[in-house]
Amino acid sequence: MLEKMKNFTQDVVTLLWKDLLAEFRTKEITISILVFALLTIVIFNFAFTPDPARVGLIAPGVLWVAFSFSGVLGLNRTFVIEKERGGLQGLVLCPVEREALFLGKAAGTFIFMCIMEMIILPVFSILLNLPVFMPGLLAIAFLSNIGFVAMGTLFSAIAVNTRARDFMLPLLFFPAIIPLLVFAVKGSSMVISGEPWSDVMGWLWKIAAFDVVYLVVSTLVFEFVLEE
Amino acid sequence: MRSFNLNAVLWSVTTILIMVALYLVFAWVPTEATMGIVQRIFYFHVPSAWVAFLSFFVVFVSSILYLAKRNIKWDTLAYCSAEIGVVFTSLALISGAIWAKPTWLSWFPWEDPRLTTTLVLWLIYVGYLLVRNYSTTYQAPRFAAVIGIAGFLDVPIIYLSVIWWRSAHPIVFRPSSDAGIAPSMLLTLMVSLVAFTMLYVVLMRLVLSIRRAELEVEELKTRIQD
Amino acid sequence: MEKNFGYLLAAFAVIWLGHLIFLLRLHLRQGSLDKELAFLRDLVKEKERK
Repeated sequence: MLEKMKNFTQDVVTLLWKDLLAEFRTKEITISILVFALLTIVIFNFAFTPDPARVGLIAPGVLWVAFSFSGVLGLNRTFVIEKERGGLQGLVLCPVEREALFLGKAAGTFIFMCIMEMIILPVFSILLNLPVFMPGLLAIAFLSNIGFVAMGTLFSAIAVNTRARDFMLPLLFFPAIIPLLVFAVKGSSMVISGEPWSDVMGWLWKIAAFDVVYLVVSTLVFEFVLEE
Repeated sequence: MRSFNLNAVLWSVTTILIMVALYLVFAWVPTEATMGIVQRIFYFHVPSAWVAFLSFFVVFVSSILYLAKRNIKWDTLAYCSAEIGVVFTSLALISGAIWAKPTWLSWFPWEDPRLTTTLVLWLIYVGYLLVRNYSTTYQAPRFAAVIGIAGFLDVPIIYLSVIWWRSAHPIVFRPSSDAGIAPSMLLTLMVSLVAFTMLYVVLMRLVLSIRRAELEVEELKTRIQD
Repeated sequence: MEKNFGYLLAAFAVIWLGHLIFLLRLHLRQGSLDKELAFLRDLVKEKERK
């Protein structure tokens, strides 16, 4: 039993490492989601032109829209890359458990999103002149990423196999991820307005619950998506 | 041996129930004190929403059964229920909005968890149908089953999140009669509920037979090509 | 109060029309499917005779 778990973890790490190495060479996913998040924030600033009084109100929303949109872009690319290079068949033939495949992919996207968020948060505070580079926001972001990639990797694997793959993922994913967005934005606005950490913890627990539910569900159900 | 025409019986029962419900809603049940006659929309809106959720539940269960047993009949059941579900969800949303506007002065009160959850449910259903249409015939049942399962599990979470989302702002109105419902209104609602459920059953049989015909067409086409 | 009757009517109309349109589309689908099925079944019978 312990042997099986060791092998499983090894598989996940190997798959993750493969994706990280590939990404390290090209950096195409990290750069594209970084730039896209930045663009989203810039567009929002022109769309809303917030004055200093109101900027604190819209900041959490803008931040999470930027993270969500660029996150979806990242999710799309993790599987599209495989599909284009024909890697999808290769992965399916690989003698690894489907669950390991899922966790490896999800972990990769998780890391890319965390990197993106660590860079975007200070940039965001500069652009909006708001001190948002707080550890609290990072905690919310990293915790939310788990649920985000858990659900997103599952839907992405489906979407990449359909005809309208660019539009299918947002369509499937955004309605389903609404609870996570609500929790993250609520928690973030509390952090920004300086509410006590104990209140913010309430939202973190809800995010964690969502993460657990969808980590379990997606891992279990993923094997049905990847059959051939 | 006289054949027992189940369809005729079901359609007749449904029609009778609908007519009884219509009479109750428009002629019998007393007008609600605070909201006026617009409140009667409630007797159509709630059963529509009920059927919408019922159909999605059927999609959920059939999806699980399909992935477990791989018998195409479960996928057929799921697909048909989803098609009907979209119709009823749309009707629930539209009737909900029409009821909301005169009652709460807003076409779409986002803080009402039920209406907002129904909207997200609609989006998930539409996603379900689009995934089916945009995948190959071979993959469609599997992908749709995954959506049917993951989507349905999300619905209670979405409902809770909407409640928590707006709990900071006190809900100025309670979108339901909180002081307990009058027995005559309850009866009308129940009759309408049963009528709509029968309508669901009858429509399901119709859509199922159409879907089976479509599958037979596909099968015949492949046989001819061999 | 009675001015809101329009809303009630609108909701009722939408629900009825919605169902009617749905049923009509199903009916049309059924019709074309029946024709196609009859045609294909004949084709298969002919093929199997050969």
